[in-house]
Amino acid sequence: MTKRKLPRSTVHLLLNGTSTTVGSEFAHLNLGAYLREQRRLTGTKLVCSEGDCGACTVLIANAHSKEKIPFKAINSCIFPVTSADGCSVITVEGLSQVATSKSLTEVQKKLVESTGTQCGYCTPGFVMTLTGYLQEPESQKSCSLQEALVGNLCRCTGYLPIIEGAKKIDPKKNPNLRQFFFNPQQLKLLKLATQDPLEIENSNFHYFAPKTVASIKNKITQKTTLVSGNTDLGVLVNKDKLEITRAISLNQLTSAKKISKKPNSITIGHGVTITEFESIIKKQIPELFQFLKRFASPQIKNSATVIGNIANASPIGDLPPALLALDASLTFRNLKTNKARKLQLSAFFIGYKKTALKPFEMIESIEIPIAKNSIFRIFKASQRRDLDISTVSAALLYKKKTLRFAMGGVREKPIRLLKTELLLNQLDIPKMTEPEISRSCQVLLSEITPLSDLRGGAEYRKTVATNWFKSFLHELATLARGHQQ
Amino acid sequence: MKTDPSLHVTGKSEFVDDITPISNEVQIGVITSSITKGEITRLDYANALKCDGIIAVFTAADFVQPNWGAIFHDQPLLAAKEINYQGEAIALIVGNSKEAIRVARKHIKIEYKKSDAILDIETSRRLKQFVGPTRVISRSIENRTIAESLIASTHRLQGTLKIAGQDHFYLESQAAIAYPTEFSGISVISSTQHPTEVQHVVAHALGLKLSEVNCAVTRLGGGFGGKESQATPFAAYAALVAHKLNRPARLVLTKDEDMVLTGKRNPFLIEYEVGFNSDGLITALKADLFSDSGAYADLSTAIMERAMLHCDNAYYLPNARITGTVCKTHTAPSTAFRGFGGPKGVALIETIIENIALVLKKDSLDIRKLNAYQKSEQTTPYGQTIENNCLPELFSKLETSSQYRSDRAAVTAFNAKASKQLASGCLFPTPFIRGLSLTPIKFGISFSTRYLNQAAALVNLHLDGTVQVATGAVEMGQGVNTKIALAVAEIFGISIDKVRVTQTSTEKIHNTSATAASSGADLNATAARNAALEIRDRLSAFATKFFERKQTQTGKAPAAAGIYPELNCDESTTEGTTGLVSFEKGKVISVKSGDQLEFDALILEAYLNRINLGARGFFRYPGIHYNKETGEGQPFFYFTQGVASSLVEINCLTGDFKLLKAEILIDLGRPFHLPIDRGQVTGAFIQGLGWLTTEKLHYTADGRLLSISPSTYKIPGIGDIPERFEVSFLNNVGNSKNIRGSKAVGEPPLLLAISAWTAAQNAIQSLDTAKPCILPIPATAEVLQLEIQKRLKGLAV
Repeated sequence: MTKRKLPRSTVHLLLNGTSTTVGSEFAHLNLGAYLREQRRLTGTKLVCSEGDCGACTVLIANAHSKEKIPFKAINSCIFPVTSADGCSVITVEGLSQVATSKSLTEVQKKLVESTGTQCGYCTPGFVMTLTGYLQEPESQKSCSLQEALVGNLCRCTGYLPIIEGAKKIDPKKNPNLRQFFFNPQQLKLLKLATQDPLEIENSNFHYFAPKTVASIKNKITQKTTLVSGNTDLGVLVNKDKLEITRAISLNQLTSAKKISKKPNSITIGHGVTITEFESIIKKQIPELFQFLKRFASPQIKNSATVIGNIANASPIGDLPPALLALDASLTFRNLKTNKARKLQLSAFFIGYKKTALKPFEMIESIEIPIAKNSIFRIFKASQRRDLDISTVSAALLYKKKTLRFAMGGVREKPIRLLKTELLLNQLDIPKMTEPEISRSCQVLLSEITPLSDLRGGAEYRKTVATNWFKSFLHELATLARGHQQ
Repeated sequence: MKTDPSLHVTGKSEFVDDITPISNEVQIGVITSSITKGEITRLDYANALKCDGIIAVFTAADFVQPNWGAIFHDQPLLAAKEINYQGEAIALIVGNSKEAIRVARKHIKIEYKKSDAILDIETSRRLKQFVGPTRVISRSIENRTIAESLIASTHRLQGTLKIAGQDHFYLESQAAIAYPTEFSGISVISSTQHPTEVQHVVAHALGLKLSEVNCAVTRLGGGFGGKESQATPFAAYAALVAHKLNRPARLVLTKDEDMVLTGKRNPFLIEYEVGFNSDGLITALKADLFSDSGAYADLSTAIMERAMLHCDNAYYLPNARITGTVCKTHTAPSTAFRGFGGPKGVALIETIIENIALVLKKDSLDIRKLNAYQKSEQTTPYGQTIENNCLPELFSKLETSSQYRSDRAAVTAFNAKASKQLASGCLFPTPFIRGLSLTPIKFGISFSTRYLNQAAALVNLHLDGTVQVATGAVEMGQGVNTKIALAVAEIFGISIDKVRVTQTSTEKIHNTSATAASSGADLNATAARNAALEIRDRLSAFATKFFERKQTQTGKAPAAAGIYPELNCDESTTEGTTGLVSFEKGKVISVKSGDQLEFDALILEAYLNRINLGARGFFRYPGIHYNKETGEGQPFFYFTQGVASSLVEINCLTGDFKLLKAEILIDLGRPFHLPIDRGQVTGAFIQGLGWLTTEKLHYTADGRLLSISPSTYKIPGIGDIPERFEVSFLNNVGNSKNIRGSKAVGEPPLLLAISAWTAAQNAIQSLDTAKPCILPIPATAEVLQLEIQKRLKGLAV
């Protein structure tokens, strides 16, 4: 045997059950483009290249993860081929290996029978999402069938025939994906092949996936882009708005998936995806759990990280208002010096897509206080209910006679409404009079300067903001009256 | 399994960009204008040509004939000097890879001289930038002017309806691959609804003869009208490159490029005045329709015509004057989109009826039933009689089955409670209002341009008893190929598995019309059926002879096909033999003797006896005519009719709209293929819902489109379909006008979604019965919220 080389310069994955290596010349590609152009697996369609249609959905399972349900649906158009290192990937073509009758799987058969396909362009994506959703009895507990499919757009059927077909699927007839694409033998080999960190390079692109922070120091430069879920950066690259020449993936760091629960707070690492976050907070912060049902799509949530949604600092990001109202705090790690520092989330956003992160710093974790005995409401308005970012959003938390109030979509960054909070916190909020409410609305309006853009007009955003605010105050009053009675 | 669905679910269906490239194939990038209106003063691509992997740059000068157009030849394939919209194609950059093009295109320098752009219908109207003449449909049973009829009416209402565009959002963006062929010809594979137009435009643009160009298409990843005319320039670009370089050339747009470069559904502005009596009977309608064609004519004049022809929708208008004017602006040229103008006319009359109901404090359904066509002497404003009118039956059936009256009572009670809460100023719990509306459609089937209503088909029987069919129809998910196969299979009495509808190609069937106007199955399946009937007649004649001969040779059953002595069929005639032989369940049976033969065995015998086993069939809709100048005629072969009831709920805080319930009843005669037809109904309805609610195109003040991908342009998702979504079909077995007694289904159900929009109008009107509401299209959450806000002083500050 040859001597172990450190680090590796080839991506190793299982593609439809077959051990596959990806050479450095393709290291910059997204998985979808790699599958279509280099492997001629053209069943996977690339339509929007921004994770917003689901036609490129494939299933992926990481050999190094210990998740109960191995395969996750992802958008291959914004998933770097390098992130598939150490993973088993299933495309629509791979399903023919586990097909039962007439070379169709149960999912495929039921979609054919229900006329759940018309032009067929979105179909492989639906097949893959449904196959992932139904892979094991456990996997259906996380969400409803309809929620599982919000990330797949269809322009032909009006969805009804798809839902009708999907409802007739007999889960017992589903193939055992684990057995064919993720069995212990395959896992062992894949783990062995990918135990060393990946460092891969071609003429325009250098990629490094370190396992320790210490090993980053000498690789990181001013030109380095830190990559995690890639659901935001991947879009910018696909749309030619960003060129990444040097990337460091943070996914392999031991800090990535770290989770610690204290009685009054939850701390999660930078690699925790929204899907993982959902199960962590389901019991502790049920309002946030409910709200996340309207966050993007399962495919996005399976890749995107909580920290990424903060780090991109979009003024309309879905999570920041809720996390601001919860008064979360961040821990940064300097990748040159390995030193850590803490900062309240409320001090993190400093301008349009500008943050308090310094050069060579990453966000290592976020600590989210659990506000027990509080009234917590999160509001979101968007052009479409599902799979849409906020036009305007708000989070209000009332605890111990104190209000914390945060909004998105009303300024150049997510904000706390500090003046409004200040005014209200001098009052007995549940007993506010209508003139007091009106006055506080004026203060609220003085704090927000929304834009008119394609998602909505300034007037609309202002009106909705005050409506929600009033509705919340009326709720507190109603609850207080209920307590008195 | 040979049907498309089993290919779709396994990812094996081949779309244009799935075709494996030939090794010397080149890629094409389209360079577009970054200004809205003006002139190109400098185009410098020298540096781009120096980039790695770049082969050539082509411009307008490289075409022999630089212009094209579906009706008027007014659109340059590539802009030479004048720029008329932002995103207009200027040049083609050709390279070895998409990556090479991505890098090199940044080195192309274009300088412009900007001038003022027209970006809305109002400005275009003021400046009289019209395409073609203003058309008029006018009828008065009172022999009065429309002004006189209006003045004579008990009540009058006037208003303006604003309708914005809609992107097709087919998932497969525009795509074409061109291959050079011998003798300098070109073969194009295009994602087009109109292969013949591609063939003609490519030949014209490259200076080739029509016989030197072929266009083929296997299937589209969605079309919806967006690939009727507008697939053509991209096919022409690929053809130009292939022709110039003598190499295969591929052009596949990204979704973002597609949404910028291609045209949308026409925006409309409609000014109207309606007169009605105290019962709600409409006595006069004056409607002036103005559409936005964008920068070039494309199909806009024909679209306007259909809009005008549908202003009556399901209602008798004794006195009407409808005018249509197409206005040019500087946006991407508007084009065909499912419904083709019809939805605008129908939206107009349906919003008017909601207003009439409000004014008279009546239920809108009663106004609709009162005005609906009922007697045969009630002709349309353009003079067509409505045969086989099912409207009264449709109304009454759905009224009962959807429990309209109890829904109405529930909505009234719900809104009374909401109004009470809103009046108190309390915004907790979140206040919602509801609305209910039941709207009909009467959609005219056929192209209003007469010559397009023709189709041909080729049917070839093979010696194993299987059949290949070629037509001019393009499969884009609507199931036209399955319907064609079904029509042919039943003529021969064989299983549909034995019939293969092959790739659509102008080499096999020429002079095709676009697969459009809902007519694809009507025209092409009938043509294929006619071809199959011709062959069956020959087979019947042959089989009659064959069975007669067999009678005389009893006891000598052949061991293998082809061992019978030859029959003399040289002078055989098919006359008088039809009906002597039947074709059922894969067998050919002598009616007289009961003798039978397997279908494939008969085909082989027929071949050995030199019977022609192929035929070309032809069909045209009979008896239709329309005079565009006078606005009179019988433009439609028949009407597809239907009704839908929608129950909606609106969040008063945000305007969030939810369709709670939609029930549809549609008359498709004897439906051609029930599951396919039902899928067309649900799909069209939800596509219509998107047009009416969430699909908003946002332009900057200088005419740049910002909604260019699904993150910014919101077609309905799975969560937008109603929890209760029912589709049923009227039992109308008596229909005999069309093939198999069926009716066309592609477009009509899109217009049924208008019920959801009028239901929203109904909900908002419930807040203030003194204020008639006319919602623009799309009625987004923002629009709805602001309308609610206007009616409630207590809401917000």
